[in-house]
Amino acid sequence: MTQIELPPRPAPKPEVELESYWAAASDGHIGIGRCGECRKVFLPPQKVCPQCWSSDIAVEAASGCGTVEAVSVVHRHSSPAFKARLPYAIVLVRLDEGVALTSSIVDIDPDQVSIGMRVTAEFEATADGTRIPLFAPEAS
Amino acid sequence: MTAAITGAYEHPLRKAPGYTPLQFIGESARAALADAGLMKDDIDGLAVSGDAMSPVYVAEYLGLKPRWFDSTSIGGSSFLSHVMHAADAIAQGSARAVLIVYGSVARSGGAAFGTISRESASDPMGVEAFEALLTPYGVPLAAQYGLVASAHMQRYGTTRAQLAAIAVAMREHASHNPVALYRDPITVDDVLNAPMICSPLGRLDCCVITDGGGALVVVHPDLASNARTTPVWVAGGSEAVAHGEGGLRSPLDLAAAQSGPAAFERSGYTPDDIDLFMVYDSFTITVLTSIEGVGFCKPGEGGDFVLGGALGPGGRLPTNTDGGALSSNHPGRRGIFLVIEAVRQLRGDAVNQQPGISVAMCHGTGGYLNGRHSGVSLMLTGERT
Repeated sequence: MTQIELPPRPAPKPEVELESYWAAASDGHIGIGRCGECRKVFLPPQKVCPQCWSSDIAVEAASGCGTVEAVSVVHRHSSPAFKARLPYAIVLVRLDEGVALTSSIVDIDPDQVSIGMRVTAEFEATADGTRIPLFAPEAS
Repeated sequence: MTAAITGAYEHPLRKAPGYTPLQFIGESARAALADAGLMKDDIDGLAVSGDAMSPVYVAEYLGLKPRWFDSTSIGGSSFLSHVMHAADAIAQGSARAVLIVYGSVARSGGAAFGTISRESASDPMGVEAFEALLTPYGVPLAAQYGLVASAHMQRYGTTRAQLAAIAVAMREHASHNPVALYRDPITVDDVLNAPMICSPLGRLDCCVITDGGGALVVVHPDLASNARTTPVWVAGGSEAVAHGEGGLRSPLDLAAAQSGPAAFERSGYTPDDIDLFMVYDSFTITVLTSIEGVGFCKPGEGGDFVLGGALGPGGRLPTNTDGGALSSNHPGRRGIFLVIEAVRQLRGDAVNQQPGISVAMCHGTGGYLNGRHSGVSLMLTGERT
């Protein structure tokens, strides 16, 4: 990994709706919402359930394991932090809990990332210290 | 009761240093008004896609005092919504002559829509909080479309060469349009060999960036006879949204699959009735998934559908006869040009006129194909419905 020489990733703009998500990430988990009324899970863990509009929401730690459902390798980006990382793979990962998120994948040549690949979450600090989930190929 | 489009004007400039968006709007409004055969005081409705207060600023610049506004801003499909909303407002008596305007200096202003992340968008209401989830990853707009393309290829076996056929067809149309930004014909190999932007989309799978502007005038049938040319009639449409669904969405769930069938149902047309398809071609994959979504073929059949010159001149579904965003112009929100070219083809005065165009379908996409986006489908016809 050469990431130590790279400029840090930009921090996400603070948003109250996402506080519980970033708090979970700082503990090393992907936080998914579970509705206390309809029991459905959702990502991100918003403050009102998107299914039944209940405010009774708990944030649970996902397993961090999932499957790549779509991938695009980025060859052009206009901002310095990402120019320094080119080329890199953006992935849509379907977590084993059933919900998907857009992230990036590390520890692999981006052209080797394939749909169906099993991945696990790891966490990296951004410019302001906020930790974010990235993915790496599942250890075989 | 329906409404007529009697004014349609596309500003011919593609690179216009020194121009302002408002100047594009003013010049386009003047030309569209002349097209409609109306006086400025006849305009009593105004639609502008921008921020929440945009119609107020544009009314000031144009010296208008409308009694009906529409500031619907759902990305590139906004203008198709404006036409639908204007037709409804006219039917309800809320307005009689609606001006729809657009102007942008994206190219001269150095915009790079495809290769930046949408992390600094203004959000006065605080409802775009989830955008922050993407900031640390560097997800250019082109990657949001590349993700969908990758999923489509994986699921259906769609190839890059099939996507390339779309870019080739748009360029073939553009070669007949003197104001298109790019007019030199290209081949499938040219598309495949162009530098990669966000896989599997190369440079020629991505739309151009230009300056530009345009205007439309939608009127009550009583005002249609003022038009300098043949009126075009609004025959129905439908809006839709696709979004993350709390993480449950598949990357192949698209708004077009809701708005397209609904627009067919509302208008009474079937896919076989459509002589011209004007579709938002931000990227080649947008065209392919829109063709499938609105119902010209089944999901997964789009790759074969676009082969054999199907979208080009004389094809089974002439598409984006002005050259589209892939070759003609793309100032950021291209939806107004879909309607303008459909109007020109239906009244028979397009520069790249196709024979026998009596029903046109427009379909716009705004936002990210892999996630939250709007889709609006709109039917237009040369014969009063």
